[in-house]
Amino acid sequence: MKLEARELAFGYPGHPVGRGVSLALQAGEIVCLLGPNGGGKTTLFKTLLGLLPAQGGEVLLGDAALSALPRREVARRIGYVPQAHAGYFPYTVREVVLMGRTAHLPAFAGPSRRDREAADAAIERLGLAPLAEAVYTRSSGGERQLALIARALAQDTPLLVMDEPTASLDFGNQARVLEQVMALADAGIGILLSTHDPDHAFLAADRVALLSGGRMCALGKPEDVLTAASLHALYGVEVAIAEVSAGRRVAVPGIRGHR
Amino acid sequence: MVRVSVEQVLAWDPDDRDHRPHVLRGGVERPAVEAAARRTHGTRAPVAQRAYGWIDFPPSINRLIGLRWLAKVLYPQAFPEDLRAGGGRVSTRAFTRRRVPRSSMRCCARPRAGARREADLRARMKASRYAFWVGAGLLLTLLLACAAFALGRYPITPGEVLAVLWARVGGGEHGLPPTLEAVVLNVRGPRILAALLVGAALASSGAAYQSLFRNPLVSPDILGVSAGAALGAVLGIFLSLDVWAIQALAFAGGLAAVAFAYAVAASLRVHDQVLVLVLAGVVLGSLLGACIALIKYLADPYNQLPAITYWLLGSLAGADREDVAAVWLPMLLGGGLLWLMRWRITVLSLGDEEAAALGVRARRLRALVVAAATLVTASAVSISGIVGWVGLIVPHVARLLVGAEFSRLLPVSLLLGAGFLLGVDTLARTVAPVEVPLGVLTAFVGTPLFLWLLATARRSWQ
Repeated sequence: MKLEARELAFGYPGHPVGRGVSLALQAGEIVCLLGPNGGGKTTLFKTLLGLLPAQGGEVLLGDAALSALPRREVARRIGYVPQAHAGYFPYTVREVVLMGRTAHLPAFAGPSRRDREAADAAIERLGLAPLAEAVYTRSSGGERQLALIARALAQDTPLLVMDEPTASLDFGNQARVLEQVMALADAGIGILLSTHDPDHAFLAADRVALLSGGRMCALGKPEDVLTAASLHALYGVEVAIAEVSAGRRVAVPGIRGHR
Repeated sequence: MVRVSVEQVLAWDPDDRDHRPHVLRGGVERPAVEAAARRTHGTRAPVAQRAYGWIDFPPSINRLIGLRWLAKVLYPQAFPEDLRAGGGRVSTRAFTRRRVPRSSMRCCARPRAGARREADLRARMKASRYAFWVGAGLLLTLLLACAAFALGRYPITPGEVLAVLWARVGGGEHGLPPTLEAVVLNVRGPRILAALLVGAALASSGAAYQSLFRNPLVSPDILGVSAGAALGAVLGIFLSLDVWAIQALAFAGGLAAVAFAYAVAASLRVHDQVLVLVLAGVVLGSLLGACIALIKYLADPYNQLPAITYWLLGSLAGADREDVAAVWLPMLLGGGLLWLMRWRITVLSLGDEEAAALGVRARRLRALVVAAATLVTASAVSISGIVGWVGLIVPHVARLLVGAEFSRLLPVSLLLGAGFLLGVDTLARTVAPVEVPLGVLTAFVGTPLFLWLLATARRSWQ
């Protein structure tokens, strides 16, 4: 299974956000998307998922055009982990995860025993078992993010798109989520995720894409793409790249006057 | 009233006790929990009963704080310390939820066995709570129906009711006066059935709309179904049509109003369809309200105006067999559709985009749900007139009882709605020498109930 965008233009009707984006996501690889706020990352993701119609170019899922596939078929191939939100109704974490099974259910049925087992397995895998009956809307941001990842796991798709899975998480939870992401990729799932932290890209990504002003500026291996110059161009601040141990790099912003 | 000495109040030190919610609820029978509590809270085992033996159990923290304040007012010299500070501390301890320890949510770490057992236990409790409330709803409705048969101006005992019903079902003679039989079978019977149907219809469509619009404060007439039905009925009364024609007009008016609001929202190519839909419904509702006001202004003040007012206030006084026969099928159809879509409605309540990402065609599903709920509501309104509150408050209570998942919410809403409206309608025809309009009574019962919910139970919409 492969997700591929060719010369994709994306945005809302009458309000283009970006164009000319070509990107492919293979099974088992992690592609990290970096870019400043308002650079069009979320809009690009929604277009790749078929939640927004492409304004130009095309998105291919496997051999088929994404727009030609029924919603349900798309949902069986790509899972989506949105940014953790507050939610509206007090569903339990288990119910939220169970909703990931929707694409596998017959049209008018509720989840079966097998679906419940799949949801419980996903909950177990993310270590959420003690929280399974906790109310999602009253859980912390980190717990909600993990629950949404568990939901995408229960969806059982070969590809995953994650919109800033580490945003608004504390230091420890960021590491935990990244650890999970890498474990999922090892298990053969292709993951496209956006992040604001170049260090996460250094740590986890097989390839990095830089998106700024709706255009893809660079795409390639992290050490090739994430340089002091490219990060300066992307974010407009001075950045130093340092190697902390063999092959392990970090990006450190230089604050003017304290260098 | 219990007499409380100053010593007893003084002896109670709010900081000394364990105020965690499960302790206050008295859930400390399990030795493991007690041992854990002892470890974290020193040597004193928190046995709430003993400490508060002189007052009700479970003890309300507010009451205890209040008693302390009262004691300070009565005996100021015995309470030199600043109770304000202490009270705040007690409140914090009593009402702040304890977070699950961070260590238990580490990825890939083996979660504590105890915590998982707890989660499993709560899952089972939840399932049995659902079974309990369905059972309780059924039983309550059944009991209410029996009571409703026996209550009213014409004196009938429950035994006579059963005799008449038994003779009707199984054949044979009951040997009771024909008037009595007529009251049971032709007056109270259809009215009870109508109340059950209308209550169930309003509550289940309200539940569907609340999930659909992701808002627990939405009632089934948000898209203008009641206003449309009202205009149809008022027009029928104004034109002096037959009762069945008035009802048909009301039904058609309800459907037409929602169809119009939906068409307006669908024709605007906006991203957030839900908001536009609600706005269109509200605007249309007020336009229809203006039309109704115009007809009332023009109507004959001696014959038509009272009939119009009565219809707008809602009543089941005129409900007969034909009414019930006319509405049960569309109600069953709409309700059945809602039941078939139950899981998808739950998913749709996450919002359009997430539902789509999970494989649900959000717009099409919403159109179906609106159609089903409108069918159900328009049928109800056409025989009862406008009855507010049921569709707003009953799903709300149901959500508090069994959670927001629609496949549980729908049956419990339906049962509670049926029971609630039957109870209120029975009140409407027995509480005063004249019939009290149903809509007035649901508002009188519903408003305090709703305010109470607002004040006590946030859970349903957080």
